[in-house]
Amino acid sequence: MSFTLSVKSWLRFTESNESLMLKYGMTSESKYLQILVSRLGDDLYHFLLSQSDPDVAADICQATWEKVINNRRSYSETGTFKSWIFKIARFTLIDELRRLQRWQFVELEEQADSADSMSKVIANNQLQLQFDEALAKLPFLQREAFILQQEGLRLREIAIITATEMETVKSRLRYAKTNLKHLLQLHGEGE
Amino acid sequence: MTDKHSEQVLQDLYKQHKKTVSMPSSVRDNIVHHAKSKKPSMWRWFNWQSGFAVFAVVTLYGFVKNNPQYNERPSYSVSQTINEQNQNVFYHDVKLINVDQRKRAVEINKNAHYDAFLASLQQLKNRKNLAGTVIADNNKLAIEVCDIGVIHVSEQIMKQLGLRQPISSYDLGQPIMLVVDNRGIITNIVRGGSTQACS
Repeated sequence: MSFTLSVKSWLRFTESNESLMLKYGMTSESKYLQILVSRLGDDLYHFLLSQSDPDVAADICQATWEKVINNRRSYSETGTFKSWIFKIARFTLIDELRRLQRWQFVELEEQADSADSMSKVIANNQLQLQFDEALAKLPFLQREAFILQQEGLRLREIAIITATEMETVKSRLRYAKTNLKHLLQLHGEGE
Repeated sequence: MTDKHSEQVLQDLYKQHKKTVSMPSSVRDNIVHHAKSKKPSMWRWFNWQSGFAVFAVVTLYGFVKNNPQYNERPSYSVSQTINEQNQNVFYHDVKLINVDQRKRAVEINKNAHYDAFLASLQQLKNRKNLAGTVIADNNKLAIEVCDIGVIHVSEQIMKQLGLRQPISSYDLGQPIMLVVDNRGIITNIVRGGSTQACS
């Protein structure tokens, strides 16, 4: 009995997100969705929270999963499920920020100002707090590129999620990391 | 600090940053609730176990439907003719698909011959116990019942009644009692009794 349960749980653990989503689309069994929520819920919420505030993040997180539920039958395994749901979340968030008139399209050339404002963070002695604040002060597009990469998404996937070119993604990542390392004083011998 | 090291530090800081954040339970509950509400009622009960059960039932139904062993009842028939002595001769037969069906209620093949046999029974005082004698008719052993005629009982009926010995093993002139029900169906054959002499 316990052996069967352990095998079952092992199988469930190793089942890919894409396979679970396809099964959910076919059967509408909420147990498959619950596994996906348990695996990716925190990642997605963290991404949204990093790009907004707790209220907006909670709303967009729920709205994103509801879109997944409502469009469960249209999911096709063309990319990873994670990149699919992050793409939905990102567009939903931007729509909401536009509606709230909080959407500011900050691109790379504005880095100098952002870096200057972030320099105040250095005064903090605790590295983690410095990082948290520095991350929060990164421009929206750089921060999302950095977070998506840290979430294990490939450059091509990030480009699809953010609806931009891969070269642009690389630039945003480079600026984001340079800024973070500069503020955290991590750019010594290597740079 | 090397650049590789700084990359690692960023990753560690990011992981640490994430640890402080988790999706609110209220959001999680709302998502699950929404998912359950979106599940069609048909799908609520549809899983591989129920799917297999439905498949098994349909297969079994098809098998039973197409197998006469399970859906046909024994068919009882009576045929009438006249012999050389101008006696009414009734052939009683039952169509059994298999021996297991012998305990099942039979279905009567109603026709003019059967009606004629019932009409003959109506003339008797005792319509349920027909006293007769084993005779030879058309080179076969049969039972002569006064006021009715000659009754041939098929081997299948003997099997249905659970009688081991066929009529052919009976002795000529042996007294026989045919027990019939309200529908004229032979329900038992009892050997013995007094010899009947028809006028």
